[in-house]
Amino acid sequence: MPQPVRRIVSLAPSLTETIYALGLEDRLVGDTDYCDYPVDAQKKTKVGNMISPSLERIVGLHADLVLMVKGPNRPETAHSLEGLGVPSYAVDPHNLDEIVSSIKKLADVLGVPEAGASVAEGMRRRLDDLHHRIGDFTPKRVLFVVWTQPLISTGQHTFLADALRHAGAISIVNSSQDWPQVNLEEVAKLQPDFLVFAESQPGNASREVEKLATLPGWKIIHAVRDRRYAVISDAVNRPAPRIVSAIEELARQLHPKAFAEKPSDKKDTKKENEENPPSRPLAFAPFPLNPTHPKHGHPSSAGGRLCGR
Amino acid sequence: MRPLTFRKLFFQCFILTIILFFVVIVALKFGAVPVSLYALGRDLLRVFLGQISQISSDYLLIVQNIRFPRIILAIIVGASLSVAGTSFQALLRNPLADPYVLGVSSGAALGAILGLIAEPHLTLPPALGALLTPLCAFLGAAATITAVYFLGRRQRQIDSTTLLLGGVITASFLSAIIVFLMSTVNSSNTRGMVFWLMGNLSTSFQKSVYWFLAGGFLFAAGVIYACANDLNILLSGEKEAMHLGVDVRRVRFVVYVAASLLTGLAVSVSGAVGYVGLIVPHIMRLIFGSDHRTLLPTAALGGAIALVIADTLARIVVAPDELAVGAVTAVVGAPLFIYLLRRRLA
Repeated sequence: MPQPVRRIVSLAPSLTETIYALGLEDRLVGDTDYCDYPVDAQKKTKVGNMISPSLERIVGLHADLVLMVKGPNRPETAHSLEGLGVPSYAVDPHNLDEIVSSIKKLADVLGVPEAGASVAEGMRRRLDDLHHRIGDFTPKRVLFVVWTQPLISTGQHTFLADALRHAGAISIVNSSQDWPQVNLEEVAKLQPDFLVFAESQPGNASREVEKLATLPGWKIIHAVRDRRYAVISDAVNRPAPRIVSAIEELARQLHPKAFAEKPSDKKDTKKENEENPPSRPLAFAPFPLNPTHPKHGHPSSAGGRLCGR
Repeated sequence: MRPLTFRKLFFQCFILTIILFFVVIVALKFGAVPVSLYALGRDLLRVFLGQISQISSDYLLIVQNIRFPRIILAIIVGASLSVAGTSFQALLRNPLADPYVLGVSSGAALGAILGLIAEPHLTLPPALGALLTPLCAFLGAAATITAVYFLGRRQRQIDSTTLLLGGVITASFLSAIIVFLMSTVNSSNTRGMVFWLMGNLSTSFQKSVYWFLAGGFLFAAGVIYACANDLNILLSGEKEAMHLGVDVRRVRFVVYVAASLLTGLAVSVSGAVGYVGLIVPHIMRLIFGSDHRTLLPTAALGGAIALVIADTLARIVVAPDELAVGAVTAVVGAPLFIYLLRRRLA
């Protein structure tokens, strides 16, 4: 591993976000077509998609470290890069704890342990706060919808399932596959309290639910019939610092009562409320996109906010 | 040609209908909500007697709205694919022909994927939005059928070899476009697209769609059946057929359009379910002979039976998760085809 790392190529949107959160955006010389957050990341040199990035371009960028996520990025890419003399580093988080610790480790590798500790501390604190608020509430039984026709959800062993648990939700899908196709009958039998959608474009989820409500097979799902669904940012799909915001969004929609009371005497809670005004209408209605998106204009806001800088 | 005895045809179809009935009963029994055969029989009787209110509501809702429509879909799609396969095998005089050999499935897949990409940019009423993908798939299939028809014409009529080559090339060209779209379009849709390409009967549709499919099947299959005798004669050779007074050009055109229509309808609701349209006609030919007047109806019933069984397996093998039904038909179909082939050679 070269020290210090000066030229980084990120092969996953989550890693790009993490680099910005660590305040290392100036050292990021290339990222993928899918790296769209923060907005500034879109201007970086693109090295292609996650599955088959352009090795030529990575070498051409004189990268001294390539960052990858096991799973979406293929090990073949790492081998090819090794053959070309470009070192790579891969993260492989499967739950929230591992996301936090992988960010910390990544910061150590990149030579900014203080920034890593600060980001990790911020994430842990917000998750703890959330746990204090909703820990006493019965978890809502939810169906996380990746795709509707055919119905694809998430298995128990994904970080997504763990994110749901942190938001006071429990997935009704009990599969060991990561992205199982779920039988609609099973959903009709288990009747989830809420459907949960992660959307990248505002309005997609509510349109989808209206579509489903016209179909006989879906109409008998009470959550569809009564339009009980929560919409969160697709940041929940990315093992990066912003996932905590998505979890908070979901918790607010599923457990509005936990957020209805006046801010308690705790200092941290007060700060959180300043950042996320709790005045939105909750549950039982389609939701506007998450509150972090309007900050698009400030590329460094995600990092700055999470690091408390 | 031997005269067709209606008693024999009736008997064969009766046997297959009985088998289909039992397969449907078994398919109704298995699923997320367990139900005993006794309870199922009692409930079916009550449905027939119009005493629906006496059936426990949860179970009825699930069976009525999810399981039963899905079985109906499997029946229609299976019958359509099998009849289309039988027709293409006769039309192209090629035992390897299946409903997708002329590229209809790739055209439908491309249409569906374009629909999925365009959907977020359109503002449609929900009912129409739910129909958009199958509609686009059908348009894609229809466009492909038309293009392949013009590619396959020589001297102003369909030429089997040219049609086959034109179809295969069109299919691979369209597949290339699909791969291109899937790797360039920045969209979270790719996972759903992949499942769509593999063939899937889990999709729920509005009731009218089932009626439309059934009507389309009856119409197209009826048209093909009207040409059954001509297909028999055509199989013995083109010149012979002409001498016997068959309008070869017309028969080919009609059968081509009707069989493509069946394929297009099936693909637009289920994706590309492989092997049913290839294997079932061969099995039925082995059992009941190659007279299209008996082969077409038995193949329709056989296709329905095969796909209901395959879809039931897809539902229950890894329950509560599901398999794509196309994976089941491929796993069973490929070895079966090789067995039939070796048997014929032996």
